[in-house]
Amino acid sequence: MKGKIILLSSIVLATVGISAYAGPEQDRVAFQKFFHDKFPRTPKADFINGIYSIDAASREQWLEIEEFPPYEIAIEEGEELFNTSFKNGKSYADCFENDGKNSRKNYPYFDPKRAEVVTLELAINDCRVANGEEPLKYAKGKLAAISAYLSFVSRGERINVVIPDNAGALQAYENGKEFYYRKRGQLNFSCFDCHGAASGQRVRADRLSPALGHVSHFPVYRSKWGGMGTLHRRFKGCNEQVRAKGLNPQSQAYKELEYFLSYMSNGLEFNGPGARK
Amino acid sequence: MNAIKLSKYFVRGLVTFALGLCTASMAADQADFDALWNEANEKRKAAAAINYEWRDTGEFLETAKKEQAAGNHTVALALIAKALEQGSDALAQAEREKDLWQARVPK
Repeated sequence: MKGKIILLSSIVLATVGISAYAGPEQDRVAFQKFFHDKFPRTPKADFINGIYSIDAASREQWLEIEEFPPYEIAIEEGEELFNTSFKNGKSYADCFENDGKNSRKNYPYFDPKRAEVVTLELAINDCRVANGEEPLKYAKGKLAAISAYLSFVSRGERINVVIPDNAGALQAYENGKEFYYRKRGQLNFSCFDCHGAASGQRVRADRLSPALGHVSHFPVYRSKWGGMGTLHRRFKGCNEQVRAKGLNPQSQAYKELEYFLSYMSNGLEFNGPGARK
Repeated sequence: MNAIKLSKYFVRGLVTFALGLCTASMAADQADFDALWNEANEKRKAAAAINYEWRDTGEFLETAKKEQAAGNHTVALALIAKALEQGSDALAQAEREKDLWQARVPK
């Protein structure tokens, strides 16, 4: 009798636990619904255009910019770098299948052997190091150019981050999620405060972009930067805007943040590189 | 004559005493500064270890060192006070957010 009670209690507790725990897929559905409800006039597939998906006036200007996109030079530079052989005679094509075409969709992913999230930018530097080359700096410059090229030749592919049945992967996802929703910095803002709850509202002359689709168009040419920058450069900038100390690009926290944020945009198309203010 | 000599000794003694006081005071200022600076830096490092350091805390501490070296003890202490406050606030923020963040997740 006592055994049956314990068994029954365990089943009830397990059921309650399962229903209370929001797994990644439940998170994604709720996350996307939040933005679909908040911006009902924006077609679901259009969130890849960031602020331009919800602000008609900015969109007009952006479409003009897209006629002669400022990231074009980076794509050309990235293509040249991608096709330049390393000193050992090999090249990036030996690391990225299909000459890099459509490779963007393979990142980020969780590597159980390394027990870490691998991003596209990390994979580019891994390729260099494996072939005896020095790693490139992660925020901008040549690495952003190669990333821009690989993103360009992957346009139209869908974001499809997989969280494997692995405790480390789930932990990385949860860490990224927690980072995203935690307030930080002297101004006491979370990422979601600006790009979720307050998305669409004005901060001085600009509107805050919705988080859904944020990862689809990086790296970007940003007018403020006067050049290209990676997603992690933007993460750092965002953190510092709320007066938190920005972290290093490709730090564990930023890789896990990218993992979470990319999963939230699963199903949307990659359309990078992009142009932003 | 003796009176003049005596007054000379007295003035010399007074100057030596004043210089001694001044040196002791500077040493005390430096000791105060070092103790407070280390305390503020420990808080900054504790916040940094959990990715909660605020943007300007490190700069306040670096500037405080420069001001102290330039003899601006009061300015240096004011900067350390700001750094200390930021370090404490950042740690309190991290503690507060341990649970609060979950309320922001869309359901």
